[in-house]
Amino acid sequence: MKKLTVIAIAMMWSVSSMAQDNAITKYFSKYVADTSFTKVTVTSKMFSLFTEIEGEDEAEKEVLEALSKLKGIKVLRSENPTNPKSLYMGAVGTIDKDSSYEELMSVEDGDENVKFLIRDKGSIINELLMVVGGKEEFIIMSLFGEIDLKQIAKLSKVMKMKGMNHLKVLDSDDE
Amino acid sequence: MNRIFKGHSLIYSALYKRGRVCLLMALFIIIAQGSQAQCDIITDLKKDKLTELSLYFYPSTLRMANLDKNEEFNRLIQDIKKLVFYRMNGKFEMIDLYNIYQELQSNDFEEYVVVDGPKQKFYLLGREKPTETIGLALIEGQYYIFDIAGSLEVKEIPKLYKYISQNDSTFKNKFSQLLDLAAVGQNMAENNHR
Repeated sequence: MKKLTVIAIAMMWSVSSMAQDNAITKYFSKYVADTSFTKVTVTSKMFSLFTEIEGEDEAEKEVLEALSKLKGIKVLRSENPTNPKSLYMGAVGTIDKDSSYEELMSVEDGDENVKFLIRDKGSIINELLMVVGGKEEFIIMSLFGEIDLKQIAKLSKVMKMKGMNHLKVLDSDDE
Repeated sequence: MNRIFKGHSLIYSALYKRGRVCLLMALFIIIAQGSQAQCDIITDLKKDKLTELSLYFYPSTLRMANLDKNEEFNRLIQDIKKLVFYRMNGKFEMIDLYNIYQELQSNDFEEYVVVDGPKQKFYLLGREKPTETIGLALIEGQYYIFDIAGSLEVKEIPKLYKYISQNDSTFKNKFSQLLDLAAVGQNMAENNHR
């Protein structure tokens, strides 16, 4: 029964990740079958619901517009892994081999390392990738679709995802 | 002439009566279909005796649950026609949850959000016509299913979440209140049964 369940999870994940071009699908599918990882997927359908909403003020309209252009989010998270640092180094090493990813920002302190990378086509950013390696956890998050760099900081406030708070520095309105 | 008139009158009267019966039947069918607006895959779980607790909320009962009279909460629920909440019993297993998930997808439900972790699982699926949102969850070894007929004001969810987290020590605390509500419902059901 447990085997069946694992197969069912893997099938569901592979179906939902079909035709989605992002780093998690490309490089980190090995973690999908690992039951110690938490996998989060938010689909384009969820974001398309935001297109039907009218914002109350200009700031809200901007955030809703930015959200409606997203195609999805995928997150892999491991709490209390045996060696979070090696997971972080391994993930960063894998992404570094792909020349289509460009480093946007990195934060390194004693407690955690955070790296943000982007993949673009012309002037449009197709993917924002975040890798977090803390003392007790490891996170990879891929945000894909059409991403406006000016809106990233505003999106990070809405999402309240660990590590995303570092992107606040990109918000020109906060200056 | 009179005979012909009487004959016509009888025919018209019979047609009128038959028409009324047909109209009533049509109305009955429409009402019956309307009451089946919620997905059979979920409502059948109760028939299959896989539920431990069933709660049904309507617009009036949902407004009553908003004890703090929070406006965001009211906006969130304003277009909900019916909310079904099931706590599943011990016969319900992980494979049943996956089967429901796949059955929903083959019935035009689309995946909105998936959270698949070692301790908890949550699947949110929806369809547009008729508007329906279904959530399947595993929290601390207990399976929950909710089915919302009508639309959910998506924009209000973050505001509601913010409101809850600011006014409560933790979101979990509020969620446990919902589970307490479920327990109250169960006690009421048991007392009624006795």
